[in-house]
Amino acid sequence: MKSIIIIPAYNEQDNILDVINDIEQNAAGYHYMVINDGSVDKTGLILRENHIPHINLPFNVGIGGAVQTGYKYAFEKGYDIVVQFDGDGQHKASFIPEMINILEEGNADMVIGSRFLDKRGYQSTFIRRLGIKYFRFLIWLLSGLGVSDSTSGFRACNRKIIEMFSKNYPQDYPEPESIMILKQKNLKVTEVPVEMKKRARGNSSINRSLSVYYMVKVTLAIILSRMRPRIRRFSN
Amino acid sequence: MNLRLQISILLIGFILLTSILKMVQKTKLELKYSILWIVSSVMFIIIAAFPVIPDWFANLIGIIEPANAVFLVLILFELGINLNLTITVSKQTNKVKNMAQYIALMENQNREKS
Repeated sequence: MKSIIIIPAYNEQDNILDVINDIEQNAAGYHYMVINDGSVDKTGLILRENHIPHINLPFNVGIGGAVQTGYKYAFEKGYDIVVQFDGDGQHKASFIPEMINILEEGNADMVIGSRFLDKRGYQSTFIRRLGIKYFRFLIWLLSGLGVSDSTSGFRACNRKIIEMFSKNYPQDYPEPESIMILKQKNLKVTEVPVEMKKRARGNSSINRSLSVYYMVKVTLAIILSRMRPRIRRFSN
Repeated sequence: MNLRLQISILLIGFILLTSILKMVQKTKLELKYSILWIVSSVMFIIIAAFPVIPDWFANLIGIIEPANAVFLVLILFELGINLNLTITVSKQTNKVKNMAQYIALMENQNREKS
């Protein structure tokens, strides 16, 4: 099946080449596409000079909009599987073939790479683990689904979901919310153990002052997506 | 409601209405977004012209001083306008996002062709 790795990147001039090298070595043969989300550093220049396939958003639209651009591209070009892979070097490309395999065998509609199943690699900070446990509880309470790493941006999904997400994708902090949306549509979500690395350089999209806002917003999004299964979002 | 307050509100209502209409005329303000403003300023004028309305409304929801009922009604209209604006902003955010994505995909396609 035709698979593509989409890599959202915002100001990742120090990480992006390592990420691409990792993919070229450990997930060789797969197509990939960097979504440059209006970076103001040298990310765009690096992508161009190294002839790395990329899409340039004209300004920063945020992680949800950037990832959705990848889904739109994959849908248009007829890809069967999309792998989401962070541009900041936290994910390891060696887990990609396994995730694609699970989808090719038809055992799930989405596979999430979880750093907590085997408890190997970087386990994040205590406070973030606490937040993720809380989301796990909330998602379990509202959907009965046990997801150990709902905030993981390392995930793969099949054509059905590619079509869905290309039309409609949550914008601000999309990861936990998108799991609820899939569950509401009765699609199968599974997790596989992966190892993650501590981000080498640059800043996470969630900083300390934003974390309370993040928790409130995601909680609300999860509850709302449970309340209205076929909620109509502002969409094309 | 005493006469002085009545006249003040009337005056404010007229100034608001004429300036809004002028802005629409000069296309500074889209007619689409001006309607709620026009309705509010007309409400201003009606309330001031017919004090029985605030009297009746105050009695209905248990406000002792009718002037307070006037303020409540006006605040509700402001809330309506604000909510309407937030909805518009949300819609436009989404349109701008879709446009950015469209431009990005087109640019990529052009590059791949050449």
